[in-house]
Amino acid sequence: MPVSSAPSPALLDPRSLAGGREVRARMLICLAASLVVVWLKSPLALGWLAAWATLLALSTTPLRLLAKVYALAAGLFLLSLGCGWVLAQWSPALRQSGWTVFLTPFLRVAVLLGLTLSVALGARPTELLAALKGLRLPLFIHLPLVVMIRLVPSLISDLRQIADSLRLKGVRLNPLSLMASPLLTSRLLFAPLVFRVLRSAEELAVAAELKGLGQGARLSAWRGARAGWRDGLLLGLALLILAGSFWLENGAPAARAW
Amino acid sequence: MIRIHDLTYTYPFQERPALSGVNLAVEPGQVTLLAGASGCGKSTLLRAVNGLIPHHHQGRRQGQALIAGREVGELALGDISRVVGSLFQDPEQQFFALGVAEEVAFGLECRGLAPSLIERRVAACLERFGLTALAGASVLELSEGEKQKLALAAALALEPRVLVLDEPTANLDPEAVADLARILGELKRAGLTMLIADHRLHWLEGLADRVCLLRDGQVAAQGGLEVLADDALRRELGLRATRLEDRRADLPGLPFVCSLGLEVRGLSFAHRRRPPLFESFDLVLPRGQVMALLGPNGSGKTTLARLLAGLETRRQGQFRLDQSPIAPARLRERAGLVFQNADHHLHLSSLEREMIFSLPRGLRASGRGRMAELLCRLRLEGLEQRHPQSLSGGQKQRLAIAAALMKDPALLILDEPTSGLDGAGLRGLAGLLRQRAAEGAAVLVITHDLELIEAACDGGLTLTRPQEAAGQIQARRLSA
Repeated sequence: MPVSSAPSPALLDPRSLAGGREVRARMLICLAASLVVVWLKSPLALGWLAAWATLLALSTTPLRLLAKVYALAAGLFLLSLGCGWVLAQWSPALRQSGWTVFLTPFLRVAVLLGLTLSVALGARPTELLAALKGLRLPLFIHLPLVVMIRLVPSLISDLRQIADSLRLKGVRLNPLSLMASPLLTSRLLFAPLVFRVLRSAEELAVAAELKGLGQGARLSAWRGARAGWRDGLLLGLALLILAGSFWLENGAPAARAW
Repeated sequence: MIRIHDLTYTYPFQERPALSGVNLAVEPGQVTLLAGASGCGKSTLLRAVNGLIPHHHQGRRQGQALIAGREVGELALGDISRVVGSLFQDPEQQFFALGVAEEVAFGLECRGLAPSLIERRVAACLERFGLTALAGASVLELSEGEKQKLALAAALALEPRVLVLDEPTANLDPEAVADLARILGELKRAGLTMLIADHRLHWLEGLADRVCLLRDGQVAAQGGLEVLADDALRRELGLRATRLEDRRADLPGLPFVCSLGLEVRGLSFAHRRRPPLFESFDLVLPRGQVMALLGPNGSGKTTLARLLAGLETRRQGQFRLDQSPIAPARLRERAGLVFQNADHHLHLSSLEREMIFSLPRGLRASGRGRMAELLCRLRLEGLEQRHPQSLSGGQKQRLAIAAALMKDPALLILDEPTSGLDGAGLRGLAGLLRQRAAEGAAVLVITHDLELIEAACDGGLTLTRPQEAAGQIQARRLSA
């Protein structure tokens, strides 16, 4: 097969546009979109953003995981809808406001979930840290974010071992056990976790001090991630989509129908 | 280079001083070993040298600690850390970055060095410790030996004149310990002054020049390495052996069949989206014996322990206990597994509740007698109402073992139980394992510790890393 006819992997691979490299652009998009969704109310505009966020999430997140996360959000939406219906039997005002009152927060959550997953699962922690460094944030913002990202792998490992210890003692951690005895289950899970996290934080703080962090010298940035053309492309696309959501909120004929 | 004059230090909210009237002198280029039982003040003395006392840990401090002629209390921590580099027991806990090269660069960035200079220093340090091929890897993918080398590289990138090391070999296998000893020997020849606190003593022959033995925060003895030759003193201070034979190659293998014990036939297992870790694997663990599970990182020791305890789902394979087939869910009831870090086992507000909770629901009402017996046997009696997280490291580990023994498991598995244990603790643990085996349990210990193998193990099984998996790990590191 001639080389020129071979499809470009960059075009075929959905990860090429949003998965793996454009960490800084996706962080900015996540920040901008989280501000925009607070302002938007129209289900149409939010639905448009949710569809885009789902596509972005799909480029980095396994379909099964994404389906589980969205199913959980949808379950919560249906639960709130059910509770709303019950309350509406006694409250005429609630009955008049309709079911879209419940749809708006659900769509906001869906947008944020999709975008967060596309950032969290689209890059290795080292890439996230490099992107943060590249943003040249003040130390008081940069440092807690770095520590948070640094502690996530340890936290996951700790959670796994605590759950294993409980399984050996005949305790299963699941939503059912959480509902049956919420206090005991929370204690069994979180008591060791809190002590572990406190210890890790203390050790990390000591290590940071011994390496000279916070001693007054200005931090130099070695190998901070630099923005590339793909960051620009993704940011441009995001701007267009956000502008589209504003149009759907205010100007589009369909928006008036809602 | 280091001068400690009559130093007394008491931690906040404590009555008893952790250090009392300590005097110590370490000359430039000298390597001094600090040794003593757990809680004798070794780590506290290191903190007094690297400035964490008084700058990070408050408390009452009297006397002097001088580094290069200057009082530690009068210097800023940043200035002290330009002279003194530190290496802790668990290197992963002191990594601030997640990438190997980034970790070496982090301290240099904190000092505001120019990126071009950082680039040169990082490259030189990685080269010196043979980590260049791993420069792009995540710190979480490294073996324990590699993590220790990285922590050392990161400390030395700041070009300190003194290095303090707190139990640097606690998590290392014998090969990694030998490698560390070689590197420290090179640093010593280059003129670095070192203060090393460790329970393991055998690797320091030929490296350490002087020894300072501590007892209850006071100096019990000081001098050349010949101080350690006094067997009575070593036993009195709870020290470990100074010479060891590597018995791993001489350990008898596992039997092919047994009438009583756990038999595993045709075990196959793979982590999700990974090549198989075990394929048609057979294993026999007879009751009444203590077996060592050996092998390098990534060879599947912990996974095998989890499979044997019923915490992982096998793809294929049969398990038989005392010749009767047993399902994984039942294995969880019959096996006790103690993780390397006891913190994960401690969930409740008192030792008593922790012990009783370890029993199956139906047996909890009648468990007090067994609890009292086990707490007594593991030297935890009188602590029934204490919060488990307020115990010392050794006590927590004994509590985790006691809790595992509450359900009288047919199979007891311990994952690296001797990290941070002094000589007395190690001998106590070895006795406990032998006793448990004598009571009829099958005991399996995942360990790198040659002293525990010598003191407790009847046989051993060595796992090797599957070639394919090793290839993948290497590829992942190089592509990172």
